[in-house]
Amino acid sequence: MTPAEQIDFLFESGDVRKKLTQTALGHLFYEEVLNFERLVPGPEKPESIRITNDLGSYELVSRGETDRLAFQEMRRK
Amino acid sequence: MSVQPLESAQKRLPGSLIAFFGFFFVTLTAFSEEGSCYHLWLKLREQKLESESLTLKAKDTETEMAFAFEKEGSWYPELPKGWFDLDQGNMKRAMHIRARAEAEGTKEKTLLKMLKNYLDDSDRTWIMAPADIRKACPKQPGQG
Repeated sequence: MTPAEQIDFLFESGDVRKKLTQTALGHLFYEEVLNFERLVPGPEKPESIRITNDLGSYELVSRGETDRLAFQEMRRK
Repeated sequence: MSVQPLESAQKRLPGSLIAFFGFFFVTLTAFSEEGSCYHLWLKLREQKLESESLTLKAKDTETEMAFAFEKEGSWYPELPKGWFDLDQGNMKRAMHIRARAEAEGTKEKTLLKMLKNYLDDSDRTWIMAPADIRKACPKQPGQG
């Protein structure tokens, strides 16, 4: 299999998580093959949180939050 | 041959044991009982969090500002569940572009190496393929 065919194989089922472990995904981001800024918001993401990429690391950045419970819950996660 | 050091050690042993168990007991009680140091610290921390204002005024103005935070991490699996999803279309494109760049020599060969060792499970920190795939596609001789 060529590398291009291998990549197609990883995505052929429609969900790459069936073909790559969480560890593999971690390495892809860590080695900067993928970029955290290209992730899309999930259903549970708080409104005021965004993610940025910093050389293979991620940064979760919050906007100001005045609801104490919401703030502490976000920070705890 | 002198046996003095051994005897001396035997004499000191009960004292050491008492000191060890004493320390163990004090440590245990400090963390386990209601009203212990640990519980007191927890209460103080809670009190401090509750009393802290979440807003403050911008310097020399009446403008209220809310506190925010920034958390850093480096490992994709550590992200809170449900906060972010993979954009798989973009991911596939990015991996194709990267593989081409690596093959042309303009990028360091990271992805190509990962793909080559896709079925390799000799290093537990680098297992790429899930167990069912590894079972279904056994490694060929000479394959990473």
